Amino acid sequence: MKRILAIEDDPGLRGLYEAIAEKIKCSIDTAATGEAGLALIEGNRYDMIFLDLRLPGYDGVEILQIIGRKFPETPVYVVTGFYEEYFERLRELNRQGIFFELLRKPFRNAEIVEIIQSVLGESS
Amino acid sequence: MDYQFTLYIAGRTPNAKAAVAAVRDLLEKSGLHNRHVLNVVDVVRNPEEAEANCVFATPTIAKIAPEPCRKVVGDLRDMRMVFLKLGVKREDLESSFRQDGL
Repeated sequence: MKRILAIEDDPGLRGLYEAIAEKIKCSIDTAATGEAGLALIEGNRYDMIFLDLRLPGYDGVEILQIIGRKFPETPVYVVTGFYEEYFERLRELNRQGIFFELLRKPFRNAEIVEIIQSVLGESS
Repeated sequence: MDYQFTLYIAGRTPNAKAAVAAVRDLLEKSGLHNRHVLNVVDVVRNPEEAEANCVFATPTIAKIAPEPCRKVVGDLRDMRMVFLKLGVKREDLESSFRQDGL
């Protein structure tokens, strides 16, 4: 079974990720903070990661730097509003050779399903 | 031009460069080679263009013209399938299929 990690401080969205993963038969772990997410990443192998950009403590950019260096093969979707103010630090990561994909926030259930099935395959 | 496409990517990553190259390769080898316009939007550099065009994730390829506008999101590895999903007529892709012996 494919494994997903969602690092998201909004409990409603964490519940949404869990419900979607259950529906499409994926295993999912969720973390409410960057620190908790890092602990999960260190101890597990994930097939894809959803990462909220704005988190308490370590924020999404800092987490992304760590994932990019330690697990560069793991697909990471940065979840954020598509507004200029959020993107300067992401551009800097690109310049450092840290890569990711983007998912617009807010999102719809069907959009998350489409992304997961695209990355992990229809059988996920 | 008969067809207009926009490809949305997240930075000039190896995956994004491969997607751009694959799209261009298919278009050049197909019956669309002199009948299309391809725009590439780097969403990391221009997020608001993606927002304005209701693009919710990268990578996405959109067929802007002819109408209806259609989008394929995520896995762009099977480029022929992507273009068929976009609603490109099979006969317009024929040259590409023929060159590959299909």
